[in-house]
Amino acid sequence: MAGIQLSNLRKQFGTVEVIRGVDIDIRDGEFVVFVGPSGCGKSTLLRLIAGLEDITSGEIRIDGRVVNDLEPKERGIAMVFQSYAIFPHMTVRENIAFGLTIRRENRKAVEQKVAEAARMLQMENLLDRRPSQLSGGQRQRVAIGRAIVRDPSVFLFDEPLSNLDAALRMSTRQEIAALHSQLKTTMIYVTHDQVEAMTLADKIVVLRDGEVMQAGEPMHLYHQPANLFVAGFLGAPSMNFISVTVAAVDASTVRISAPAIDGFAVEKSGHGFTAGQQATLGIRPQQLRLAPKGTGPLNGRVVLTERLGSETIVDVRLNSSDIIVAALPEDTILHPGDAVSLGFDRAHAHLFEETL
Amino acid sequence: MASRLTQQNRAGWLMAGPAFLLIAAFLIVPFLMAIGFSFTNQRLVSPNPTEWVGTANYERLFGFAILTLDAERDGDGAVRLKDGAPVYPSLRSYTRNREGFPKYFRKRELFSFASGDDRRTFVLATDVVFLKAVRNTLFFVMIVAPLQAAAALGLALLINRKIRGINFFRTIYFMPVVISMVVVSMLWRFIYDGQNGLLNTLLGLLTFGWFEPVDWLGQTSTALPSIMAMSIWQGVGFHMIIWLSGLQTIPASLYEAAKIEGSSRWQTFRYVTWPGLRNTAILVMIIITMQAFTLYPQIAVMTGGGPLDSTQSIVFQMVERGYGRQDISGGSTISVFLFLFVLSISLLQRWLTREK
Repeated sequence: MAGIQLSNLRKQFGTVEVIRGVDIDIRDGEFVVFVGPSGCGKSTLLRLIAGLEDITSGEIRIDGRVVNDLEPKERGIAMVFQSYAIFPHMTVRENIAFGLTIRRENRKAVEQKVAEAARMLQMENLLDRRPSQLSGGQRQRVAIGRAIVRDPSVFLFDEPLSNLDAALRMSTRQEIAALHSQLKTTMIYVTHDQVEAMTLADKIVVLRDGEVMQAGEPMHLYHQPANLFVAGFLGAPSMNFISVTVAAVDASTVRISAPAIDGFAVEKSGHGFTAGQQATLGIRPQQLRLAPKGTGPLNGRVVLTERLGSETIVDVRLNSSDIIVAALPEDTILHPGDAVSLGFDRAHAHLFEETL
Repeated sequence: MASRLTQQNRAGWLMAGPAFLLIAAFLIVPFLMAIGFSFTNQRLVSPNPTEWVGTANYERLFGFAILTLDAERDGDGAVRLKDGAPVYPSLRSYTRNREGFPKYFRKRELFSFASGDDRRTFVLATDVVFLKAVRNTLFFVMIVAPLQAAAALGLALLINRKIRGINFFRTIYFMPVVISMVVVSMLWRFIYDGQNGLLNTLLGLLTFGWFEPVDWLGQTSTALPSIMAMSIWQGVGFHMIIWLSGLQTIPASLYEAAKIEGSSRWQTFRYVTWPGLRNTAILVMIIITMQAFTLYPQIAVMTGGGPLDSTQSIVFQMVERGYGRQDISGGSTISVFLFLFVLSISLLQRWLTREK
């Protein structure tokens, strides 16, 4: 069990800086998810923590101890790879016991630990199989088993579900969540899938281009994204953005106007806007609802509808020619070309200082 | 449909035809002819008609007899000694006596050993040179195959890294392979020269003149080992490339997983690299063994089988008989023997290395 502190962490490959001054504080027992688009440096960050890559500058502390120059095996970590990285010529049992075998641990103790891990992962009946006889999900469980028997103070997961099919991804995700609540060990999990991030994390760290965009509890990030990137990254379908102009500012609200919409006021929420400034309005598709014709602030025509069963996703071309996406109740029936008027709860609208 | 299929077949045969004809003319037909010739007394050029001789050629190749002789004794029954060693009756009195000892007729001593007090067993063979060639070739294979495979693997491990200028080393190690063995043999004859050879000069320099020059190819004890050393050097680059290709199929994540588990360099080789090279190892061993059995150009260029038949090889004898002595049937017999011998060794290797 251990907390982890990353301070001003930097990593360069040649002249390319892929991690640019990252500061993250991870509490003991926390489940942290690094999320971001591909190339954002999330896997590199994990590999820096694991010790598979050397850091260029900065500091990594695990359990209060600076581990910058320690070998991976000395850091008290275990890692699960996207490609499973289980040894193809060994049985499941040998794979799980690998770390213990090479440390020449007592045979009985090894057997006991392997049995314990197998029980935890419900794979006692697979112990004598070879990896080639296992499904993807089972292979990933072997990799997790190999991590468990090390009794690490930190688990590192590098996109562990990416190679699994959708159904398996969901059940394995739940297993990982159950594992965390059982072991209560610090876990760091890297993914590009915001659903995994939202469902698993105690804390989400959103990364872009080697920098932390925002870190915090999942619902905090969802409700109060610090910037356009985080706002657009979390939530599906993505948040709608509309360029607006700040018309007037008072103590608690900001009045905005734009060609697409009739002017209205939104919460200021700590930003220092000034009148005349360009800004971006963000509205989650789920916040939009149909309004009586011509009454909503957003008016346009339906371009496309997708009925997902639980909801209906409607793409609407506004009169200003912006396209916005609305997630409407499942029994909404609209056809392309229909004129619609959309309204939303002002309290749930986001206003960003950044412009598109 | 059927006509289209046959038409395509015809086109296919037409395209494969030239290659098939060449393979038939230069591989399949000679192979079958060699088998046929080995049962005749065919000569390269002869006015006499060829006769069918059955298995006589094979009997001559492998004909052997065992003769145990008691030491000669003088009048009062004491063993006669010469220079402290017992004196045995002349072998010629047995091997040149067609009437008295047809079993031993025209056989020569292959080797002998003491088989009791004042008693010696002589193993006599019809074709001593051939059996020596077999022995030398086997010795050559047994030394060259493992050493060359191991050296090639060592080099492959060395060059399987991402460091600056690695292609330079890859090229250097591979260079001897692209030079003809005949040329290499010529060069090494100078290196091994007993007077001013590079090797003698170098060893002399390194030992400050203490080293006495050796005629490497001129004495029975060093001739074959010298050829072995050169052969290993010449072929090692080729097998290095095969090992290298095998090494590069092992996923990097396996090495990373091993590193995280705290595996030492040796353990990583033992548990990750070597099992991953299994199929490559089988390939390399079979290729090396087959190549080593066809030892010829080195012998032909460097020693011609000498001194005292210490570097005779199977293929050298094959050529020597077939063309040197115009005894095509004798050469064919050896080639059939070599084919069966190498085939059975390859099958044995396949069987020993089968998937269990």
